[in-house]
Amino acid sequence: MKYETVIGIEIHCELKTKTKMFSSAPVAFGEQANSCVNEIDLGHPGTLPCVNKKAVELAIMAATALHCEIDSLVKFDRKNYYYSDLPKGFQITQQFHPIGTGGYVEIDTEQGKKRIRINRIHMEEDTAKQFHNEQGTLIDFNRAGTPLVEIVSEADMRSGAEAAAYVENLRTMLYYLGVSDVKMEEGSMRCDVNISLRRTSDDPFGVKTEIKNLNSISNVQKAVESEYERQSRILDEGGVILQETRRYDEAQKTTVSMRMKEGSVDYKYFPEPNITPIQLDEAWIRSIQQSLPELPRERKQRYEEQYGLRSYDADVLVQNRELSDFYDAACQYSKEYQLLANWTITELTAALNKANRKMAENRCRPEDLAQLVTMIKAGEISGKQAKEVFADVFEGKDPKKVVEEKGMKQMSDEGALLAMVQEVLDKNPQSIIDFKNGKDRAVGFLVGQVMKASKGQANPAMTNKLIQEELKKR
Amino acid sequence: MEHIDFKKLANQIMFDLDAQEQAELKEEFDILQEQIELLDEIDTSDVEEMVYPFEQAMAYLREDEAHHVLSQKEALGNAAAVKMGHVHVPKVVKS
Amino acid sequence: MIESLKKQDVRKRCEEALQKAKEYQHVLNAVVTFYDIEEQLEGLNAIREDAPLYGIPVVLKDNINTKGVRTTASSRILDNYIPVYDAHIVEKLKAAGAVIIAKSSMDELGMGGTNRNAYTGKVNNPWDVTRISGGSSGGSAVLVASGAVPIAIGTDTGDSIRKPAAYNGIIGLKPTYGRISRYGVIPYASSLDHVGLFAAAVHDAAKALTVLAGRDDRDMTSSYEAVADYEKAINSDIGGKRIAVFDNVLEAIEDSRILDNFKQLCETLKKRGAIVEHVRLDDSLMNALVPVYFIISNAEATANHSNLDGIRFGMREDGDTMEEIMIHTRTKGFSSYVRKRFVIGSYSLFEENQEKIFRKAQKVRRKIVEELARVMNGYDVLLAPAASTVAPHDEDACEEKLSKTYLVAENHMVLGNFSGYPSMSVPTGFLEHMPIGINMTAHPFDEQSLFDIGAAIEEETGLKDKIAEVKA
Repeated sequence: MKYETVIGIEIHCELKTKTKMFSSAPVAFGEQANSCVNEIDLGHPGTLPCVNKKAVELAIMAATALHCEIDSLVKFDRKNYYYSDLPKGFQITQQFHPIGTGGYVEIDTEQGKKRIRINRIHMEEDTAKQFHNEQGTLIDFNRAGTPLVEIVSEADMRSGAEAAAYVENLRTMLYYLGVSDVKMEEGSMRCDVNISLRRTSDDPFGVKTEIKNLNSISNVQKAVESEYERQSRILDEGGVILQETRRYDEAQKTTVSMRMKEGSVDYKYFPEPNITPIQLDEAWIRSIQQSLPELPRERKQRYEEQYGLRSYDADVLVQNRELSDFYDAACQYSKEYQLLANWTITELTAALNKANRKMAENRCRPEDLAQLVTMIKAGEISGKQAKEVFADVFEGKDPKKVVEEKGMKQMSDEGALLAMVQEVLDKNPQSIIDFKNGKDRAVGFLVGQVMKASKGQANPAMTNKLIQEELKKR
Repeated sequence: MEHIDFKKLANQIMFDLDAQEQAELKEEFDILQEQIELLDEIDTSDVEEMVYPFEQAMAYLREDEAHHVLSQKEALGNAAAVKMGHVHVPKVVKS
Repeated sequence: MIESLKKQDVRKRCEEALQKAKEYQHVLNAVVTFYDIEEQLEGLNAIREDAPLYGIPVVLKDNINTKGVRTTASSRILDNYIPVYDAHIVEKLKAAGAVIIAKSSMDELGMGGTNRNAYTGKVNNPWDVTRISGGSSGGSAVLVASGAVPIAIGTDTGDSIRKPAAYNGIIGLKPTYGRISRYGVIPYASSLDHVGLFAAAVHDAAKALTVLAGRDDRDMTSSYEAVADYEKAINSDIGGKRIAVFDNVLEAIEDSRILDNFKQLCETLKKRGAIVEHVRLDDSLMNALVPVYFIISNAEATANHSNLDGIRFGMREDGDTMEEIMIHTRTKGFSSYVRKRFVIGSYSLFEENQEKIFRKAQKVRRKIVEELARVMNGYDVLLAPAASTVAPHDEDACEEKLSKTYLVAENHMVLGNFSGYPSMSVPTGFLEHMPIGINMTAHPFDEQSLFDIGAAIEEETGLKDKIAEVKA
């Protein structure tokens, strides 16, 4: 690469609360337009904001997971601008005293682990949703006032892959925390990327462009890469990068200019006089921090270190929290961790896909899958039988009962097996001759005959051993 | 006071001023300038801004329970233009 | 007045109040919207008769939101606004049995001190209709002063209750910041806005405060401080009360008759056993009162009123785009006076100006409040004439001057808004048939001292329940 890409990312996340940031109206998606608002969300005259405790709690959780320092004195400010989606003509935000500052997120890169520093995380409120058509603009205020956190990174990322890894990391982290739905497609997590290029890492930062509203993680990477192409082409030709806001056009696979940034807009920030500073109880903050759920990075580490999982498998599990939770539950019932992981990642996922079920609709019980895996390991059923049993376990049946009902229990009684082996050998003298003549594959044939005679219930390993022993005796 | 484009200032906060109003505002800015000079006489180094009459922090936060919502009819009752349950404006950005 | 009213039939007293307000309307021009009181009279069935304001007619300043009843804040932009909710104090008043008879005129959005700047026009002083009522709560003031109602709600950002109270010869109370919830009150400048009231007698004011005061979770600046039965606790024996006379104000007043009236009052208070001493605040800080007020109030106001854009409510003007709608709506919706103030407020908030203008004013505010606390240390109240003149004639009321009289004598009451300290105006006499009065400021949440000393003054002046005779 001719240039170094310098990337900083701002992420807005809707918090998972029942009510708005500053009003007791419900937060809801997909409801009838303008039916989840009260006078505060509509910015009616005389209304006053009142801070949502749960939103503060969720912001503290996120800030803690981001390793930020928490400011226990909560203050809010006004950001003033006029727009039809902004009911009050100002947004209440935390410009001067963000709830969290100075943290980091760890990502995996090709060069190993890397820390992306977090500048700040602050609380604010969302705007209304607008729909544009030929006749004009329709405004639905249901979203207005929904609690948000904005997470601002330092310009620490150096490639599209790093940017994507950062967003993915944050996304899973916030999801694990239960802080947000983090649905990028639906806008509950929104991502703005700032990009500039420079010749070498010793040069000062170049002029940056901002790519707004990226709606998927893959688009984050694509947008960065196409913006690299665009900017580097301009720089190669001796041109200058304009400070502007752009968007990523999926069809054209390139970024397109939205508007110039004429200097910076003056939002005339000043402290919100209607919210006296709020002193959070330190014990409350600690209790929130101490009861933080396990985060994806920690879980991955546990899988690798305690369960000895392969890094790839650990990643696959962790990226899907529900699947990972299922796996964790199953691990309470079996110590066959890798085998359990294989069955969870491969068989369970495939069956869910085939049945078109989400994890929430899953009927398979973790203890049953664990039991199944234990039975395989103990040689009670064969791998082939296990797949058949799983079809029922997937529907919520106990594997032991399935095996019993189907009469599948693997035959491991040496006396009974030996009798069967003798009988098969007696019926196949030619195979004995072949074996004596050095044709080892005769053994396979004989094992197959025993399996057939036992209707597949014979323990294959034991059968093999017994046949070898008996052949030598003849 | 330096030259100020009063019309531009007004437009930034979404209204207009006619020529007479701009001239009157010019006079008010002259008074503002004198007022600022009165403030300049007061030493405020090491003084914090006073944002609230009483600054002792509060502890109250609202519990996250929904208990006040308007019907769609109430929410839209004061809007000058409503279409399909939405507040309507002709076009948001100038084309 | 409340107690004597209570001897009459409920319906009769409420109907008479409404009747009077209507009769006086063409003379005083105090009302924006009259209420139909039938529903409220029926609603009284659900209220105990011993409720403190049972069946007492009251008036609300037109910036107090009333669900289903037009609330305009005397601005054209809200001329068609029908609130979808009641202000906290409306709930309180209704629960106490009060019957709202009208919404009263005010300076547009509270911005002004004359009440000339109301969309419905100037409000006239009942003692001399050629004179102004004062503002911004002018309509409420004159409806009490004319005897239409015993209690009217006002709001006070600079002196918008206490000045018109003095001009109209009645009690005007601005309690401690946070004492009465502001939820549902259309703001002017949030860090200076107070809800308060007018009454013709100190006891009535005390009774009303007990009804209105108290914590409201919807206003995060509202106080948890316990609410007393202020009326019951009134003690006009002020022996040992420590009163600080505000010398800067006395020095800035030119009319010796006002000074004489004040000095006489001080002598009377001394005779009743009060300790009356003189204090003064730093002169450069006194000269900064108006600038600090002007800058902070305009800045907060321009942001507070950004919601008035014609989109979700209010008088919308046509336009081809969202911007045009907003610009046309706000140009036509606000008077030129208000628009000019918004420009000044916006200018002082620009990033490059904030340090020199807005934040500077906030810093000076702190110095002023610290100075007030210093001089009031050891005293129960700070006492001064409320104004330097009687209510002026229309043409005399000039809003901005840099004279000492204007900077100090006419605007000292803004100290109560900067500090949040409770403050009350009380009538003390007449000058050429026009009322004059004093103003007292007490320590935070010590409204009781205001009522105690106010009651003593009332006993001395005999001006309790004194109302103007309006020739309708």
